[in-house]
Amino acid sequence: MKEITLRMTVSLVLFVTWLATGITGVLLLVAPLVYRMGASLPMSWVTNVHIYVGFVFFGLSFLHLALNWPAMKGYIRRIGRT
Amino acid sequence: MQRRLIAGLVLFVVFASMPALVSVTEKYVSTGTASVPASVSNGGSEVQEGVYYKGTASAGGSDVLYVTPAEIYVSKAGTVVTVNVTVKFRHAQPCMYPDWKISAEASGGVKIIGETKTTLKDPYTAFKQYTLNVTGNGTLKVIYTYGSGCPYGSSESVTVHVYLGIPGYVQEGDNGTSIPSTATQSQEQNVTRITGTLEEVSVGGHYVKISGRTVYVRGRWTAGNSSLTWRDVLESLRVGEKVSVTATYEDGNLMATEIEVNGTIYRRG
Repeated sequence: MKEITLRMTVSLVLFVTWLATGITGVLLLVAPLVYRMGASLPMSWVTNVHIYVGFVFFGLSFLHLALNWPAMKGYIRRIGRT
Repeated sequence: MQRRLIAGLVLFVVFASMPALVSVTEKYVSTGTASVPASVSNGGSEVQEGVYYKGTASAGGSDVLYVTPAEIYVSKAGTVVTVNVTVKFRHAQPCMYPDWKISAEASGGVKIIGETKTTLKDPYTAFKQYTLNVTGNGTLKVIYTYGSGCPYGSSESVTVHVYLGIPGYVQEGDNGTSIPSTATQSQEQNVTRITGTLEEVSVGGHYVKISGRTVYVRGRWTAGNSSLTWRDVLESLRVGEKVSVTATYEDGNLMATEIEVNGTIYRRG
C-alpha cells in the first residue's frame, strides 16, 4: 500500500514537472521570435522555472526508475531477446 | 527494492538541489573574482588628486550595469577623470546574442577623450573604462545595449553627473531644497559649508546629521577661550537647532572644522 502511494506521488509530481519543463522550454525557444514581433515574455521567471523544475524532474526520474526497476529490467530483457 | 529506493532518493535530492547549490556557489565565487562595485548609490566615495568620486550608480533588469562613480566633482576646469563601467551578465558569455555593447554619450562640459576596449573579466562580467576631460558641469550617459534579438531586455542606462566645483549642498533656509554646490575656485579645496537644522546628534558615533548629510566631529575644539573635547561639542548641540558647519573631506568622510550654533562658534584645533 505504502509503495503504491509513493509510486503514485512520484508519478503525479513527475507529470506536473514534465509539463512545466516542457511548457517553459517551448517559451524559451520562441522567446526571441516573440521579442522580434514586439512582445516580451517574463524571461527571468521562465528561465528559473525551467532550470529548477527541470532538475527536480530529472532527479525524480531516478526515483521513478527505482520504483519501476523490475518492469524496466523486463523491457530490457525483451529487447535483448528480439 | 529498499536499496534501489534509497539510491533513487539520494539521486533525486542531489539533482533537485543542484541549481540552488550552483547558484549559491556562483554568488560566492563571483564576489571573490569579479570586481562588481560593492557600493551602490551613495555608498562609497573617495578623493583622488583633488577629484571627488562619489558612489556607484546602477541600472538593471536581467543584466546589471554598474558605473563608478555616480558623481564627480573636480576643482578646476581641464581635469581628466576616469569612469569605470561594469556589466554583470545573467548568462555566461559568449551567449546566443553576442553583439551587446557598452557606449557613452557626453554632454555639457564633459568630453570623452579616451575609452578602453571592452574586456570580459570572467564569463559573467564585462569591464570598460572611459577617460573624460571636464571643462564644466555636464553628464556622461553610459548605455549598455543587449545583443540584438535578446529577449531579456533592450538596454540599460546610467547617467553620471559631473560638476566643476567642490561637493557640498547649499541649504537655503529650511525649505529642504538642496542643490549641488559649485563653489568658486577661491574656496579652499575639499572645504564645504552646510547650513541647516540638526537632525541627529550621535555622541557614540561621533557625528551630527544635517539635511541628510553626516558630519563627523573629532579632536580638540575651542569656543572663545574655552578648550573643549569633541564630546563637549556634541553634548552642547541639540536636535532641531539651526547650525552652520564648515567641513573638509577626510578619507571620503565629512569632518567638521567649524560649527556655528546660536551665535557660538566652535573651532577645531
